[in-house]
Amino acid sequence: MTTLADLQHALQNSILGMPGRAETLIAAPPSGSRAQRFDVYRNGYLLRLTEFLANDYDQLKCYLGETRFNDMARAYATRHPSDNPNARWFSQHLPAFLKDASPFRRHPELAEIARLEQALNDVFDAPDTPILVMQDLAAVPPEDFGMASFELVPAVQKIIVTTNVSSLWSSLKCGEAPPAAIDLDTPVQILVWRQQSGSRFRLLGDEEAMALDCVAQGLSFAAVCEMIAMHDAPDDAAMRAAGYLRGWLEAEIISRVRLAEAGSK
Amino acid sequence: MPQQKPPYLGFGLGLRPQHYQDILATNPRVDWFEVISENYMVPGGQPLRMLDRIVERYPVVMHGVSLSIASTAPLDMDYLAALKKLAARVDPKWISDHLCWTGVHGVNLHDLMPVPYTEEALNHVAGRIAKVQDYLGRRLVIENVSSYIEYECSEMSEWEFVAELARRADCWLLLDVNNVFVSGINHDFDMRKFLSAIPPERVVQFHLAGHSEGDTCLIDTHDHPVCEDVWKLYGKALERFGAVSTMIERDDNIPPLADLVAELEHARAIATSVLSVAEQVA
Repeated sequence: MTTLADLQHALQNSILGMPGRAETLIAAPPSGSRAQRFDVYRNGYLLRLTEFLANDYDQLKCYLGETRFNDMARAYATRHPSDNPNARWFSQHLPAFLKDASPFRRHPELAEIARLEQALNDVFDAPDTPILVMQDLAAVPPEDFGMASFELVPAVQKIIVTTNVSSLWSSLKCGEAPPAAIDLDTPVQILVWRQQSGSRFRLLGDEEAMALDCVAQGLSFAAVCEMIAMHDAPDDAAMRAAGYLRGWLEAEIISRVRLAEAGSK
Repeated sequence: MPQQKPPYLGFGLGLRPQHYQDILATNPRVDWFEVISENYMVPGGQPLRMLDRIVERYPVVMHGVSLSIASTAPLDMDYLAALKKLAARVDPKWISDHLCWTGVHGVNLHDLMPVPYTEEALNHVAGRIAKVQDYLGRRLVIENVSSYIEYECSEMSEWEFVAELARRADCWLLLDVNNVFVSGINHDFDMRKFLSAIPPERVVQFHLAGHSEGDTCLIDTHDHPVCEDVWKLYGKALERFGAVSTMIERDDNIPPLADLVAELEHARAIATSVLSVAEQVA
């Protein structure tokens, strides 16, 4: 007698491409064969997982083309069967998979396109947090401003890339033929964030990336200005810092301002 | 457990992101929306913000695809906690999921795998529904699925299983009319037998959807308008079950909202016609 557990084990194994006796458990159908009927589930499994990946990584699919994307999806699904009831998280291992697995690892731009798309997806439905706006800063007494520190929206991501993934992604998004993938002389950082409900990204210059790291570490605005002054021309360091801060506020990536000894705003 | 049957909601649609802006801009003639629970089990951002705005304007019910109520794997308490949290936010009129299993051994197949219609499965599923109902503090609504296979070990028909399950688990039923049609064709059973075996007092919702023709059977793809044969079966269902909250599911080849609203008007017209005839006869 076949128990419910035995039946589910056998069917799942067959769907996953492992040895199983699924067909012996299936009744003869009125049309077609047992195998043909079971194939609806077996084929549907890979089609569905491929669709999940395509939804989450549409630019990667454009870059690879349908056939190669589908082959990649099959390899990924074999290595990482879905372990989450929510399809939203099935694709979470894809950037790491592309970075490590052959033959994809020979093309580092693949993992980086996937990493960028993953970051865009993650910020899209990241937790909602307070957003600091320019008017909020008006309440900060000028004499306290130097010692104020800023809290970044937790969902903001900074990713480091070694290829021209930014150009590749932008071309693909516009439906244009992407430029050739190239390795950069030095790695660059990309900021990924959510603004007005939409996901955004842009390249960060070295100085702004460093300043953002300082903010993330909780340094005061005065300390951030000092770091900027050490990075490049000191005379207009405060102006540059103020410019960065204004950009971050407009991009909605600052959550709070903390005043020394006075809690947060 | 509250015993009162959920309210009749009228005619609804599945809420899909493609239609958010249209819905908010035009307030279409849709009586209620069904949301896919898993789509809103996310930390935040636009999906939840849009859901909040829809909930302000329309009654909403939650429909899940991953409860895996028939699985022999332990109940996924993380999933149930997320479901309960979402329900607290949405205050749905009811929560539904499918009579199926979606995986074992930590794997999710993301498919609605059919159950063997055995006494063992009946006891197993009824026991799990009771546990989930206790945890959620409300009765579940369980839906019949489309299936492409039947099992050698089945000891009863699908309709006997569903009717007895509703009785043993003391749950509500979502009768998917298209699924009855698809499975009826695929397994060559009499769809009227299915309808006549289902206890009317348990049915709180109808699903309508389109399907596709596969190589050897019909496939429940939700990518076409409702076909004429399913509309006819819907009429039969109305004759037996009376006014039941009805909605149209569309998950692929999603047309403009206006097309779905027009399709929903067709459902209204059929219901008006069938129910008024039934009233005259009574």
